[in-house]
Amino acid sequence: MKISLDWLRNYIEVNTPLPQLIEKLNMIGLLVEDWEEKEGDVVFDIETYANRPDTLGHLGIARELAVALGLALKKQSWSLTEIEEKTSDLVGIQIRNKNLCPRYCGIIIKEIEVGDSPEWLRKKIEAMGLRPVNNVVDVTNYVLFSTAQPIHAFDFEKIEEKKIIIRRANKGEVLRSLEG
Amino acid sequence: MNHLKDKIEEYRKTFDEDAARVKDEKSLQEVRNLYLSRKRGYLTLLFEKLKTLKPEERPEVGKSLNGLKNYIQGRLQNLREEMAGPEETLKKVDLTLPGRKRYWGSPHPIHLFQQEIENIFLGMGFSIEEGPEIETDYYNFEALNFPPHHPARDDWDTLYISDDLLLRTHTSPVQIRVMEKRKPPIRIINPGKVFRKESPDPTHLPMFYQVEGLVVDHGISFAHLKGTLEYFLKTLFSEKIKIRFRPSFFPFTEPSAEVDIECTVCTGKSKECRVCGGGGWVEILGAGMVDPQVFKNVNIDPEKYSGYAFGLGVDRTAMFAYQIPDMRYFYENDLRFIRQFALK
Repeated sequence: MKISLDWLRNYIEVNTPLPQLIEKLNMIGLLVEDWEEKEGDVVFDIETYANRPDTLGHLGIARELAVALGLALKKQSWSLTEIEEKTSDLVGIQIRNKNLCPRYCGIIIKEIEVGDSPEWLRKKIEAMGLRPVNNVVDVTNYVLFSTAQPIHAFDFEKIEEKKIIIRRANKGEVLRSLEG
Repeated sequence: MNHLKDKIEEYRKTFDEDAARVKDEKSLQEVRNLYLSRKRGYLTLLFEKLKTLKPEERPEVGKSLNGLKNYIQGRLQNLREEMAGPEETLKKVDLTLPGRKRYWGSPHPIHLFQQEIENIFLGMGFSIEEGPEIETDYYNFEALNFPPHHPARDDWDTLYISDDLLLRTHTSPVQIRVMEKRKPPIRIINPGKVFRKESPDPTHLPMFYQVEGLVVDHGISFAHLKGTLEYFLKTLFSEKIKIRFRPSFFPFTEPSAEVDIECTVCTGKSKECRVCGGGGWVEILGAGMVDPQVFKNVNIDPEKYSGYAFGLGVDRTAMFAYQIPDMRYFYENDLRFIRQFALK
């Protein structure tokens, strides 16, 4: 798992010198397998374990470090203007196998202009070893690498019959993935 | 049949008489041809007659015929040597040639090192147990608390033989086999070969050796684990070696740890060290307290008993102990390499 020091600073005010920081990460079970300095940032390659999905994102690592270094976790705040319509009125969501998918969440964001991401976001996506695509795709990846929660963006105009159905694949069904 | 037997006896006598008359190389050759010539030699003809016998008679006659042939060949050889005399014989040996050095065989370096490891644990009262190299999914994974589809299975690159059979990826299945059969107290090590789907490179091999350890009894704690492994590593490497325990994860132990030693090649001083990658530490052991679920799987009461388990790669550890940069050297069987480890 690639972890950027710069990104961690969104959540904790970490100023520990690098060798001590690596030592700390190692000894709390977040083994630094490798690291590199990149344009003023440091990107760690941290070994992750099957029982610790929380360490698959920067927030999870920041939480661990906050405890280990005695730092306070910075409060996150967002300012969003909610739209009038309820999302569930605009898109119907059907889950066919509750036992496989107990919950499906989504939100509609309006007045998006698809274009290049701002510099700060591009830098973060590049630190993860990915190439920035556009602001919508980059934001979904940003959320993934922050919180370890994979998300996906759909173009509202292109959702057929304004319905999202969660079901098992049919026998022999062919799926076209994002990669084509 | 009797006719043939008589012939054999007769030729034995006439040969002795003929042999007695041999006095030089020429007459020796004549006698040889008379009996052994490939076309008309007496014995050659008899061998052909053998085919006319009934199958059940053939072995007996064949045997005495062969006996006669060996006898004749032996006598002729002796006669030739007698005639050659001592000087002739000596000429064939070049006494000025240097002697040929003979090497003693020795156990393979990995086996020697494995024995060294075993001896340390035998000294602490552990006994040795072994298990099969082809395992079932149950022993290799499920009983060790890897349910089907558990993501941790991905960390073991498994070579499957069928849906249920595989080449064991670790020696841990032996733990299960022993605990199924025996009641605690248990104090064992399980050395053996393990297999992973990996392409050989300096630090990975598709087949390598592991030594696994298991201790189960009343009141076993992490302190016992730590003390045992520290003693083991200090005996194996040196009294002064630096050791650290790091939190880790294995499905069959909780809590789990990985044990590192200070890099023996650069002692933590080189940023470019190929062995430790500049970190100054190398991982040697995986260890932890036996997960209660594993105890339940073998009908040992986790409320009454506790235990610890550990495992180390023999090849990998040998690499650090002997400061060998590439693990593949152990299996390339270059005698110049292997002989350096021979018992003195």
